[in-house]
Amino acid sequence: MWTLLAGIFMGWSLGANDAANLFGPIVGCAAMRFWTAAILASGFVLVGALAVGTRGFAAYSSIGTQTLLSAFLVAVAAGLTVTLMTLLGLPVSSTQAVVGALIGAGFLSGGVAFGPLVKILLSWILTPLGGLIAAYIPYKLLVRFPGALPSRWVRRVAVIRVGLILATCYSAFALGANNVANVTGVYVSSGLLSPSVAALIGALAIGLGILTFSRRVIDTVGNRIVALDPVTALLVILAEAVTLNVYAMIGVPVSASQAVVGAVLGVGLVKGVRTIDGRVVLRVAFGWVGTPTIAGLLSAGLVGVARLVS
Amino acid sequence: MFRFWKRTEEVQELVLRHLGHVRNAVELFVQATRAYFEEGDREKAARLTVETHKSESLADDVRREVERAMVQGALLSPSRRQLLLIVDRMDTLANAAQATLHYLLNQSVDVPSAMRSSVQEILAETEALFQDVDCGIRSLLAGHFSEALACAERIDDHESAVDRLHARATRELFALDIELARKLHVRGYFEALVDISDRAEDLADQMALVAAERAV
Repeated sequence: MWTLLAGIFMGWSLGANDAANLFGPIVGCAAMRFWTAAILASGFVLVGALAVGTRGFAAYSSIGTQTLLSAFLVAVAAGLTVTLMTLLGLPVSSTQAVVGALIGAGFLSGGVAFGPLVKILLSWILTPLGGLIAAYIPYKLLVRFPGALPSRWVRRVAVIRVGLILATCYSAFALGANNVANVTGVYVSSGLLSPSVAALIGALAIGLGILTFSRRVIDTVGNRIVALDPVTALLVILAEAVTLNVYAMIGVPVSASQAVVGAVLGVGLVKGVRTIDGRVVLRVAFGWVGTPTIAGLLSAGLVGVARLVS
Repeated sequence: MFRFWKRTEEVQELVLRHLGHVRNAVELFVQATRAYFEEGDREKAARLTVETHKSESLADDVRREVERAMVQGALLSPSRRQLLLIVDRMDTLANAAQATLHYLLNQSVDVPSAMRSSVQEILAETEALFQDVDCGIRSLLAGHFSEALACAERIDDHESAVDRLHARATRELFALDIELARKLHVRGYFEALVDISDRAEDLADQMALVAAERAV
């Protein structure tokens, strides 16, 4: 059971990092206190993981079968990559880290199934695109038809606030539904855990990350999203949640960060292409290529060393 | 969970109530100043000054209620900051009205008769200016941002008119053959008198900023 510690670490870091996307805006706008938002988000992550999360496990099992040791090493490689990229200040996707690590480990053991892998790789292009479209269309409509929101100042703010609360809950549900497979998926394919137990442990680990370490991340990453303003922040959260939820229903774990970046770009396109900082986009693109590459190399290295030792 | 909805609605009522008290204070200030100069009735002016003080105190109480509602979680932080700044700046109008009356009555300012028409003109501009303050705040709360911007521009125009009247009055004052001490005393009164429009201009700047941000 000690091998599970790496998965729990992965879940903890995912919860701590992705919490900024989830409820950074709601705390930054002072629509809700940190602890209320953190408890609410942890609860909805658990509900999402238990209700829909088990579908994602099949995707990881289909890439390749894991032994208990390789599952542990994959989780360690993915966790280390996420931590390294966070320390370097680069945008990171836990999904890409896990998939990269799985491929790295699979190459050495000769057990990578490329059919399902193509589906996952395709989702890396379609996820930001989905986030972009899911944010672009409603924002464009809102700019075109401003009467969709109440005109009275305080009433409008109250409606946006209710929207932010509901979107945050939905977003937490979608994160649990989609991303729990990143945390404990490898243990299902290794046969250590049943899907429902894996979903429960994964969701608890994510919740632990949210409750123990997300505040600091919110202070930095969260405030950048709030800078959008409450209306666009609401649309970005909703776009992220819809994208994650759709992929969770299909059973493909995708990156919450990619969905958010796509949604922010969607809002930027409505505001005008000039508002998009090209250097930031390049940084994000580097993170998306770098994360699976580093995780894959690290995982292959760890599996190789383990083989030599044993 | 939705207690804040009720609090949010209360905030609008409180801001309007605050506006009502400030308007009352400014109207009483105008009446008291006219009673002092046009009717020569110092007792009436003193009575109206007490009423101005009461309205100013009521405005202060409501401002504190607005602050309390914000602390208890009404609105979102960008709107809280904007609305609090507007209420704070509105409050300074009532404070200035009260301070000007205290200057006039406590120091028994003796404005030369040749200059009383300037006082009347400044009072008329101040009255008109406050109509636009009232219109601007109501338009902002109603979400009619282009109207609020137009009101803010008119407040600026009134303030410019008051500045011109003030400059002319100062020139006329120092051209009079009266003691320098009296000139300085009267000049101080005029400076207090135009302080209301200066503060209204600050409020108009804030209104214009909010209207421009919200209109995007």
